[in-house]
Amino acid sequence: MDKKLKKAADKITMPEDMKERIIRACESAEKNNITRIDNEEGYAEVVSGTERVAPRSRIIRTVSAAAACLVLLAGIGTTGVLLHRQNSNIAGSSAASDAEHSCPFGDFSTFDYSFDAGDGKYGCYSAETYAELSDFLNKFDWGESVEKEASRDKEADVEDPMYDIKWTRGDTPPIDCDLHIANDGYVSYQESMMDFETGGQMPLTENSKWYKIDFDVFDSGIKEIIAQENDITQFVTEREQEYTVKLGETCETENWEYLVKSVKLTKSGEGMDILPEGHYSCDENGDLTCDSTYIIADMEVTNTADEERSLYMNSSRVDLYNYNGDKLDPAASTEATAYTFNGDRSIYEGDFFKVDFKAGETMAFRVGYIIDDEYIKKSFDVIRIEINHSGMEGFNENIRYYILGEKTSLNDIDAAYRDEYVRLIDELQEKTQNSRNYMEAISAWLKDGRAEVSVSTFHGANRRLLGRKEKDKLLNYIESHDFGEHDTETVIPDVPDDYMEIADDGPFKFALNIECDNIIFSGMLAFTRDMKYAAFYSGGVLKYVEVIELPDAEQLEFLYNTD
Amino acid sequence: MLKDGCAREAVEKYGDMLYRICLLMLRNTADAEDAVQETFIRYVTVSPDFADSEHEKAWLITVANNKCRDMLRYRKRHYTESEELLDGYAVTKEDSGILDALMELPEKYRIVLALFYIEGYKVDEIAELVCIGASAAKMRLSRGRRMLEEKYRKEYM
Repeated sequence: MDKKLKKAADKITMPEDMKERIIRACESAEKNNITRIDNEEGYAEVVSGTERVAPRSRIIRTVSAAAACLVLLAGIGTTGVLLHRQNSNIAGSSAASDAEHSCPFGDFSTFDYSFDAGDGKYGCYSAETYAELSDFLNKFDWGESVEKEASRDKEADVEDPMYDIKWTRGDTPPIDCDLHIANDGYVSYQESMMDFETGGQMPLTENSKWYKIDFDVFDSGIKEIIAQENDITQFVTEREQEYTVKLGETCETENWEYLVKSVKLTKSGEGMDILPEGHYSCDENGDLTCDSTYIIADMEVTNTADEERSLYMNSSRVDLYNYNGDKLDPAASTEATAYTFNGDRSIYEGDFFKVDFKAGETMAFRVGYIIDDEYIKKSFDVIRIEINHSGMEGFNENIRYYILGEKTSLNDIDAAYRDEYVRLIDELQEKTQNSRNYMEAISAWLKDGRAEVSVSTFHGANRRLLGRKEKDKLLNYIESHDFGEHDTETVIPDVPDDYMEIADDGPFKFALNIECDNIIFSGMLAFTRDMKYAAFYSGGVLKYVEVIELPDAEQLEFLYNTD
Repeated sequence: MLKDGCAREAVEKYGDMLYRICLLMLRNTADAEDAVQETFIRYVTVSPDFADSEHEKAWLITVANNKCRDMLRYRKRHYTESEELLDGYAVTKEDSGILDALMELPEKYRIVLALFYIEGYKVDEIAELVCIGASAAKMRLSRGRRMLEEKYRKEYM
């Protein structure tokens, strides 16, 4: 079978036309790349052009736009919130409450759902906000379901603002429900369930529905609710808390109490049950039945809250790390494989083991972790058990791991292996969320000494990298002017929002290309010929996402006039 | 080892290999093209210093794998239609069965199996390429192989 696989796969080759498209795109991107030449001011940049990578097929561009939107969502989402706080109105709320409508998806107040507004909070809002959201969603006029529009421009699905609402229905088996609200008012409702053979999500297309809503009403109503979130409470999640549990000691976290009773190394026999993943079979004594070596921890978990609630444990994150001395041995930290002793009471829901607790109830758990066989012969000075838990589904994967005595989180170490693209997303989200506008984000990079800025004067011309003094001038200009809050409303007269070329006869005089940590800020900041406006373009969406009116524009002359 | 800027040379040398991996991971030709293109663009714009050609190849695979994972993460939120993938390639019906079976496995098994059986990497090397421990790679390989066999025998033989 192995040879058959290779023989078959080797017949897959890249089509020649695709190869040529990729080569052209690479050569175009290469032209935009930077060659540094030393000069007395540190260094200057010489590049051969500013042309964009040639557009690929429509399908591919759709995917690219989707990826880019992932970068932009938080920034733009926040923009919306900030704007809305400035110009508060309750059109959405009032429109929604004027009439009672039967919500076609059920009563949101009874769902344990996540509401992602693309603002970088991933639905981490307070209970009060969720109560308001439920009320709004229940009363909102969704209208009658409509036919799926095959000819619809799907790019609207990935352009900000958009909203995603997810919840799980039933438990035999659980069905994931996904409600996506696109900015053209097109609402898609999709259901999916886990395919127990592949472990993947299988869409239940027969249950899919589509609606067409008044997006402006929905958007303004939601923003009104979310904007209040910032005033009401600073929501604290469990994501950055760290607890160290020693054998025999009780650890209390957010009304969950853990007691680790014993830890042992063991080797079991045949019979591993691979589905659901991470959930291994055991014999009548609760011992794992798998031909692997395990670290087994027996523990008790108590719900110390005075109410019923569920504990979610993420199977891929129930980890036991073992240390030889005080150093984590990565070879012993293999893929997390969790087994919950209370198999009859825990329900596997996609990525989580969900266990329902009564108030004050204590339950025994056993978690297992596969290690290399050689470790069964070794002794351990310290065994540390890290458990990702949460009272709310969805937060688990954000909990951070630390090695004892180390200040750097394992998440960060792991992140070092990730693509820099992911890092750029985080960077953009953080900077744009914490900045009042994109100028401030750039200012922060300049201050940190991490930014490089180059000037493009027109299509085909060389780019000029700003030297230290020029960067200082730019920083000084940004810091000495107030550009206001994020502004997605202002438009530049007579300039289509999808125009982003710097050409001899175009509306823009020049553009700044920003790099941070050698990563090109996806897009550019283009200045109009009359120097009244600057427009931020973000890669992928091909539209300016923010327009700034430039005060004292003559102070920027050094950027384009080098005489 | 390729010199900086040799886009054509790089695509000629590694294009098929990366495309194969991306296609098996993403199960969609347009997405695979996008992932491969992004990988090569990254290659020519970042121009990392490679110790040797193996290092270079490993770097490309890692970047491509990360691109695929980004896209798969996106797809979790937005279902995309699958397509008749193997149409147009010189793949016989008999051959396509095993590839179809492979592509139906969960993502983490697909990449490990592809790198081991198709690209000929060792377990330790795969662990480095996909940023997991050696034991995890070994386990995914073993479990994935068993799942592949079961699926292939049950559905494609």
